[in-house]
Amino acid sequence: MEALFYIFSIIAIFSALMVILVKNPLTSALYIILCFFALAGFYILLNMQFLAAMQILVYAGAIIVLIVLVIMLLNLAKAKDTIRDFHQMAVGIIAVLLLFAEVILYLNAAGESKPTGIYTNAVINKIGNTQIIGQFLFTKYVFPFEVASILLLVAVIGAYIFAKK
Amino acid sequence: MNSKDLIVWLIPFFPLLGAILLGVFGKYLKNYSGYLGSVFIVISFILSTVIFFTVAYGHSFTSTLYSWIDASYFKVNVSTTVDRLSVIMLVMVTGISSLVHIYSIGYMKDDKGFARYFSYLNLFVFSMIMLIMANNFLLLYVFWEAVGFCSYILIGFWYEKKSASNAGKKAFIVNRIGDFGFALGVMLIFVNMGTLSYSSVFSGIHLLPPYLITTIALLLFAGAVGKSAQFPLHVWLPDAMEGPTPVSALIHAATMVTAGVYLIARCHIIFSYSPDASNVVLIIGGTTAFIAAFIAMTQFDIKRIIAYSTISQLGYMFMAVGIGSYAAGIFHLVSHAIFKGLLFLTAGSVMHGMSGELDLRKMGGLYSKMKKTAITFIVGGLALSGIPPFSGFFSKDAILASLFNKGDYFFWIIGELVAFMTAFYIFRLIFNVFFGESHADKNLHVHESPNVMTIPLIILACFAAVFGFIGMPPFDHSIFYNFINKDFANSFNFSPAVNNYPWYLLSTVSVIAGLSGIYAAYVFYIKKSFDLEMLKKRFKTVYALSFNKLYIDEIYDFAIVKPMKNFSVFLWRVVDSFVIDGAVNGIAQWISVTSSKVRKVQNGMLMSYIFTLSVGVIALLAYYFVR
Amino acid sequence: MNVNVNDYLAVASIIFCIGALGVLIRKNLITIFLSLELMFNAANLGFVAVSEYLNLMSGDIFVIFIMVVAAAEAAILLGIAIAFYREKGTINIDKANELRM
Repeated sequence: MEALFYIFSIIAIFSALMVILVKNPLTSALYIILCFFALAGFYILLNMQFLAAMQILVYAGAIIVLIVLVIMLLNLAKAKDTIRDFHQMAVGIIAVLLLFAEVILYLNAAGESKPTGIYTNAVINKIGNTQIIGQFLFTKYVFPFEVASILLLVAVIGAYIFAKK
Repeated sequence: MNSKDLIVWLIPFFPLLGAILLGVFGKYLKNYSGYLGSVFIVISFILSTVIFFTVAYGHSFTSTLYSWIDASYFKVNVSTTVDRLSVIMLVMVTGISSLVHIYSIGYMKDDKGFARYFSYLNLFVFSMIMLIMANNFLLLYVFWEAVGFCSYILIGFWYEKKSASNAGKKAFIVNRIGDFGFALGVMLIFVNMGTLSYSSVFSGIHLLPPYLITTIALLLFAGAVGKSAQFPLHVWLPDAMEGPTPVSALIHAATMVTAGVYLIARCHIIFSYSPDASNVVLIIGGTTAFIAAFIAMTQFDIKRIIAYSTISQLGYMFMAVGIGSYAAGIFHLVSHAIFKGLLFLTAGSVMHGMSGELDLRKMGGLYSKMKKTAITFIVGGLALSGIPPFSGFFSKDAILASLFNKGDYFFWIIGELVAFMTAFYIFRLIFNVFFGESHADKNLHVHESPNVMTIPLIILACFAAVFGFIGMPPFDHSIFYNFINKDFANSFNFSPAVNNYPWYLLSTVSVIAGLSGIYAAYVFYIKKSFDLEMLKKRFKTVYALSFNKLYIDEIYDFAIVKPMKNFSVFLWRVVDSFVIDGAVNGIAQWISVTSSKVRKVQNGMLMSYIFTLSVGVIALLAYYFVR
Repeated sequence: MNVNVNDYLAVASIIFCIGALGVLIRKNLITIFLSLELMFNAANLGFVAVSEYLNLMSGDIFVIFIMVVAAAEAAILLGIAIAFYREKGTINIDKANELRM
């Protein structure tokens, strides 16, 4: 298990770096799919197979494919990001280093906390993680669920309006 | 709602309906608006008469139209209590209004604001009726202001004339001073008693400490002083003569200006618990009566003479209510409304015949040319002078007798003196206008007014002649006194006004005062036994005082208006343009300069916004961590 | 050596910072969007890891909603990208400089 974790970690970090470093947006898109696969692997390790499947289906399968489609539609693969603004890069790197330092500080400062819920791995495996998520979505979280569906509808209409002109 | 209530509420309804109809559709109705307006008022008059007899042969009653304000303990109803006092006022107001409306059809003919005039007049009658009918102080206050407003728009009716619109403003502003006191009085009543309805206020007023009762009474009286043009707030009434003459007859002689007297008669319980306030009323009334009569003797504008006469007669009424002789005050109010309305209307008729001329030096010898007007005017003048058997004799005599009987000999002497002056100035007017040789422009075609104007005059003259008999001396045995005193008998220190004096002697004194005034006028202006110019020189100071209205307008101008104006100019020049504008402009300039610097942050570059965002996130995280 | 929640959070924060860096230094609209998606997913990983550690389900549910929002956002962003490209002939966001008066 530890081995798998480290393999996934290396893949995820490497592909994430490649996403922001390569010049061609199409390559970026392909690297991010790799990153998502690694994250799906984490979800399986965390006993959330349903989320892993969603990660691949929704993110890799739908969103990124949509982006690839747009890149190809607008013929952007050639529009390489050649302009390098070193001033901007320097400022960006400093800002991100500060951010990272702060995140690490927060993680270090966080106190130990005991598990409080009842959904241990054993329980989840017994009922099945898909079923538990489904139960939650349609009982306790039914209102946000409906709101989310309206949000999607709005997004569809909005995208149509934007793209139509 | 039974029939009695219905009739009561229809009385103000018709004038209101008339005001709205004529105001909205006036320009389509053209000349019919005069007839329509008059018909509404006449209907009101008939209904008032019905109510008069209902109350006279029955009891006073209360009728509530609807609950106007109901905010926990603050309750005000639109309701009326019709008692003997209010029915007398109702019949008087609607009756004189009807005649004035009919007269106005002739007088205002060919005026381009014909419909507007009748709309305003109907609105005034509505407000006045509601003022009389109100049975709580808030409703009274509202319509108190409403009649003031109607008076303002009617004085300034010919608003293209600068003097007319200025006179309107003056009336309104001077009235504000009194109304301010009145409003304070109403608030003081509410704060201390928690109610504004007449019945509860009057039944509970004696529980208040005496100084509070006096304060309330004086504040209410301040309103009365403003509305009834008493000294020192009388200055608006002579200027108000800029309005159409029927307006002067209706508002500034018969109805609105008497509202102050009505108010005090209505609140007689409050005043009866405060002898100090009553004395103030008496003193103000006496002063006003004397001053106004003194000024009236030397004026040349016929309308202004009658206006000062009105002020003077109102002073009589205040003297009467000041000594607690409310019945005499109301009696004089009604008889004065009749003969003074008559005098104004006849003056309007003279004006009409003389194409708007008002200066009595340019008249003379009109008797032969306009007989009806002249005779009715003389009837009014005799009534005003207190010559029996005209109504003024009885009502003035009732007041003078009460003064004498109460032991206020000083004010009785003033009253007799004023009676002499009154007879003098009104007959000076009559002799100058109707007798002697004509000083009018030779080209002027003097003509008698049409029937629509003279018939109301004749009706009023008949009333002025015979009305007084219901107050036959001795006054406390007269019909009028017995009728109205049921309303006043429950007042605290009420004592019947007159009973133990040789009334015929006092009456004789009054008649002699009146007759000698007339004789003096006759000697001066018909026989011309004295050289008037020489007399003027001999009594230069006195004459100048009287002719310049005691310089009261000038004193106000010097003491109040000028300082106010200077202070306003100071506020404008220094405080407003320099301090306030400077501060505002300075702040604006500072913001403009600063923002022109700060706006460079807004460079429109998306990347810089993202960067700023991330800096914000980092800073927030750092803040929460450190905290 | 056992893998615990801290390790997951460390990986999540690294990916998050990489995403943030991408947003800050790149100028290509599409790449910036992808970097944003990286940041989303790093947050997702953190949610799932902590939720597993605390034996709760709410973190997992939250991830589902984040996915919905991401999908909606993707749709809008692509619409904007097309409109922007049509307007400017490029998707370099330095050209998006009209946000001022």
